[in-house]
Amino acid sequence: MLRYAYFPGCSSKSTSLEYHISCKKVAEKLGINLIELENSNCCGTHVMEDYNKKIWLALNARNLALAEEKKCDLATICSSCYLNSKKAKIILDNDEEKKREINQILKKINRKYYGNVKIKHILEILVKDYGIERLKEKITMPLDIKAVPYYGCQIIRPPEITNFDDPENPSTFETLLDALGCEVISLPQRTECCGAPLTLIDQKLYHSMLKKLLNSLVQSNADCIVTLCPLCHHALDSGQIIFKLKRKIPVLHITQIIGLALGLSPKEIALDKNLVETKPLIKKSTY
Amino acid sequence: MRINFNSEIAEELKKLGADVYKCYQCGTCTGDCPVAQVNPIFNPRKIMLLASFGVDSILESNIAWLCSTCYKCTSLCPRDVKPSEVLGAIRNLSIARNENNTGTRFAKNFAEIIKNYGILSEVKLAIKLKGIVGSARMLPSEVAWKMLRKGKVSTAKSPAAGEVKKIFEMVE
Repeated sequence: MLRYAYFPGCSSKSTSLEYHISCKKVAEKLGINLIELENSNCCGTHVMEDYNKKIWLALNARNLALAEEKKCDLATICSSCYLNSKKAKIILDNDEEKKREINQILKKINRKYYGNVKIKHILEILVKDYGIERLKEKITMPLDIKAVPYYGCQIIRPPEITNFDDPENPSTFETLLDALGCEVISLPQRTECCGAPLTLIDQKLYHSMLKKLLNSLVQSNADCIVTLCPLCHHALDSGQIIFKLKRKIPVLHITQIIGLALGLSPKEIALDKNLVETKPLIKKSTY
Repeated sequence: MRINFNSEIAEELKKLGADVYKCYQCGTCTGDCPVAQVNPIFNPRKIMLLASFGVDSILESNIAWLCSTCYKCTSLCPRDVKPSEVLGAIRNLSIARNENNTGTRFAKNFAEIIKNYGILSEVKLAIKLKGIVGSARMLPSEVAWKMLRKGKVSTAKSPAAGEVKKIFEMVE
């Protein structure tokens, strides 16, 4: 059985509650054991790295140490947690002195980072560890819908850190959606930034970036947009209401669309928590 | 306008792992920057140049904080300057020098929340930075109300808070 130390991230308790709920349900249905790290901390994002590199490194090392205590790899559903954990791991694993320095800090809280843990995003777990063929066998409700995959930034860039997929023309997400039965609409804008990290720095700037992106995604005539990151999700979901778009399309988390294909009920995957109405999509995907 | 040149800036950036002298000003970073596309004031190529000259204003102003950290420039830069890392190093330096602008205030308040609660609460951060009225104005009431009703606003503390605070106290 696949086992992971599950690091849900800060937004799983707030803006992306439904990502966390649906992720646990989907894992349970597929027989993936997610051991939740209830005492994990914020990855700090680039903001803590800007603020103080040593604190940022220690925060990430602490999360990695928690996963090592569970003797399994770290599973994340957030692209920012993914990038920051991976970046910290690369630094720690390639600089003995830094690792020693950080472990001295961790020692005071009775933790230690060894360097055995790997970091995986839920998409990576499903496609690479679980496997597409195995996933296909579990599908009870093939989805006859048009879906736009949206990668965003921090799962594919910078490629020398995330080492996830081709940063210019990624395809992992498309492979997954295709396996669920979706008609995949792969747009060049799927790797464009939504601007969400700028929300509290310059809201006007954030809104211009988001509006530009949403316009191209919504024009695609798709039934839904699917995301990999809680922050991107919140931006694309709330943005359609903020900008009063005439045509709104539901924005689903990757685990919500998989949940639909696995025959989970809309309630189980918390489709009632999305901001743009998901009912038309539910109707279409469940015949 | 008076411009202060400070060659220490590029040297200090180098210590932080950002070698801005490698930049040959091709502008690939700016051409692909999603922020520059909607706001030409943010020009990574120009920031690389100003950093190599050591122009103080890049630390004092908010400019390096307008980067959305999409890492496009870093994946495309033909000189491997890693502009997003340079921008990060500039932000790092502006914090170290105790500059006071929207960006540094944002980072300091962000850090304070992590220090005390172990995890980030978006709403807490917004209120700290913009006050209750200012934060309420950020979202149309329809969105704010929906989020509240659906339980998507949290001010919870993580069980990690105690250990996280110790980490901060040991380093700071």
